[in-house]
Amino acid sequence: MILEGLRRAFEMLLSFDPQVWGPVRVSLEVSCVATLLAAVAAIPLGVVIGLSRFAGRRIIVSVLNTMLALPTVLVGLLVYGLISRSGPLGAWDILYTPTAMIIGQTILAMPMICAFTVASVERSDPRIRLSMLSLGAGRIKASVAVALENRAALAAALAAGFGRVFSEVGVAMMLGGNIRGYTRNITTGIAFETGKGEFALGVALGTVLLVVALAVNFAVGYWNYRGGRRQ
Amino acid sequence: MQQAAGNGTMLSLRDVRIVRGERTVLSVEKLDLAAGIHVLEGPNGAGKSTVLLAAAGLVDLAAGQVLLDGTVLHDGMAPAPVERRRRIALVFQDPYLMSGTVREAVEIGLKIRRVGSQERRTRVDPLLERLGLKHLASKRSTKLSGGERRKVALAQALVLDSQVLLLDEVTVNLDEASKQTLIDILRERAGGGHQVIVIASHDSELAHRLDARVHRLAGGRVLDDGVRRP
Ligand SMILES: Nc1ncnc2c1ncn2[C@@H]1O[C@H](COP(=O)(O)OP(=O)(O)O)[C@@H](O)[C@H]1O
Ligand SMILES: [Mg+2]
Repeated sequence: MILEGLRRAFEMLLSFDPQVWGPVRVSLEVSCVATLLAAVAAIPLGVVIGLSRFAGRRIIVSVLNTMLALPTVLVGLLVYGLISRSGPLGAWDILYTPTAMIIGQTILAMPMICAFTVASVERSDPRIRLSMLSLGAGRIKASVAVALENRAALAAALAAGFGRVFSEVGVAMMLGGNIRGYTRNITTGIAFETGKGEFALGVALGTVLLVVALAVNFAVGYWNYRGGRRQ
Repeated sequence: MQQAAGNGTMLSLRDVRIVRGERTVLSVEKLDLAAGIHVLEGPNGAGKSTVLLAAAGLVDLAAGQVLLDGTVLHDGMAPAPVERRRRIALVFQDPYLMSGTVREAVEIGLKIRRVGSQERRTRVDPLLERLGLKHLASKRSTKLSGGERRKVALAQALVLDSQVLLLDEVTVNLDEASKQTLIDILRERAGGGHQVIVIASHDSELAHRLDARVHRLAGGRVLDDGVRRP
């Protein structure tokens, strides 16, 4: 039965079956947008935390690291409470839409990207900032230069954030609702189809998930390595 | 003793104290550096680099002030305000070059000051030529030898034509020809009488060739007040 399932799964993948590629598209779109939105906030914040030396900095960093383990269903629950009909943002009417999934995944990706950014800035070459300051740069320009010189490590941070949200189920299920052709993504699709006995479709979706997750993991490792090199 | 008056340009440290960790690594009651060339001499750990970092406004002062022509350049927390720091250029003991080409690296300070591309070119080109860097202009700055990297760092600072020029162990890795070129450039600039040039070095021959005033440092203190070696 497993072999037969595998064979049918590959047929579906190769024939561009919309039952497979629909959820793949939703996953890619939602997770890419969420990762980019998270990065816009998390990278500058991470650079500032990584370069500064105020009291209580250590505490912020450990809170951040703890948030990496934030269960996805808790984030789902929190956002659900905000956007469901009776919630404070109920008027937006966005529950069970891709927008809701994006909000949840953005919240999930932010601590990941921020923590990676802090770590890379902390172990980056301290001479970068000092050189820029000595050449007449203001603090902001000097910080931007630190980010640019560490762009490989920041790419790893992005990939790590994307890896976190791309493979999660909790937020997608609770806020997206697994609506076929609309909010059904790879992970909710797998859970649903397998439960229904559609094993081959589950395997086909699982294959895409695995390939993307491996590629992302490889990218994180590669960029981390590049980011660690020094002059 | 050196002339304190004259055309006026004067870099001064007053009651400067710098603490790193728990330790006071620099304690300078009074150091006046008039226009011209000064060499800070002393063993490793004497505090030479720290004096330069303080003058550049890049290290916290636990006490005291750095003054240029009587106005405050730096006191308290680093970094000093940007408009003050822009009166000074510093070449680090172990320079880091941003990724990009050699030309881009040398232009950074001018770009930061919003100097137009035409003027950047007319200021950078002759300097690259003179330092023997012209053929490297479009080479990536990460692919340079130690000596080449130091010359690029020098060019980065020299091109700014700032009132104060601080050079940390600047002749390390330089071949004799490059060293002579640098000495010529520095002597020309000092001849103008408006620039304060301070070099940290333990190469005493250098001080002689530059006809510099020598300030000996040890244990974070200045031992003598700018003697000119015969
Ligand atoms: N970043 C730093 N952290 C702690 N101590 C430092 C740091 N930089 C320099 N020091 C200490 O300050 C003292 C003076 O150093 P430095 O000015 O670099 O000496 P020099 O340039 O004369 O060799 C040394 O004892 C050194 O260990
Ligand atoms: Mg030194």
